[in-house]
Amino acid sequence: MLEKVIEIISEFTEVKAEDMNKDTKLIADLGFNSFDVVNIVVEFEDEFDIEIPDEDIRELQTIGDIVKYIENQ
Amino acid sequence: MKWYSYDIRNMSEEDFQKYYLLMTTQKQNRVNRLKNEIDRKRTVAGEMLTRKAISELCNISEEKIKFNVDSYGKPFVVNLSVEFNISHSGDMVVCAVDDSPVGIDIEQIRNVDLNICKHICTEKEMKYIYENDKNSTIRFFEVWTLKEAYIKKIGKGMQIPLNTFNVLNEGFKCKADTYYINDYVVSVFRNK
Repeated sequence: MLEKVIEIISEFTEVKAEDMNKDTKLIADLGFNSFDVVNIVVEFEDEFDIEIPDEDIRELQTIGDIVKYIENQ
Repeated sequence: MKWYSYDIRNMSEEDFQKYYLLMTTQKQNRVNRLKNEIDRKRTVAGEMLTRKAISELCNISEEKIKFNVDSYGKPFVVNLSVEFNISHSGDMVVCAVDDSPVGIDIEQIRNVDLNICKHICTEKEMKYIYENDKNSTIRFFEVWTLKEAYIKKIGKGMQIPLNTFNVLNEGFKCKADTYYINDYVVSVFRNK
């Protein structure tokens, strides 16, 4: 799952997959703004066929947070 | 209220170095963490634009402006009663300055999965976006940037769900403006 999430984010940001790990922060390391965050959430919803409620979005700060969230769905 | 825009493709290496060195150590560390060069450039350009804007508004030299952060992590200018806000997207950085809190947001107009609307829009906003097929993407970015400018003005980040307020009602509209620069949309939200 971690590899898949990193692959999606890598395509979105053009940051190389090998430069990311579960501790990578979306805003501090990858330069995401709010729009990027909501956009990537929609990508994950489509890819994994899940619904991520808005109140959960702000909890997703690192790649590890996203992996854990998807695995718990 | 005044706002300024800057295309980071015009930033020289000398300017990058100059404004990087004017940053606090905390901000420099933030720049160093960023993995993409364009993100590092955008952040330093934000510093440059903010210093230039405050320097012009307050008649003070750029080097004398000092920034600090309050207990909520919100940056402020030391010893000057001026408020500022920065935003960036693509190659553009914008900065708004005013004597009371101000929020600004810029987004490059691009193809977007309009499924995103269900996360951020009220029913009225959705209707506005979809009622004109040709301009729905532009209208989407207008609504998005207005929402972002508003929550940045009140300074609560993403704590307020974006679909709980309608930026198209009159109370909002009279304090907000939207501008277009080439393929970018900029919205500014003022206190008055």
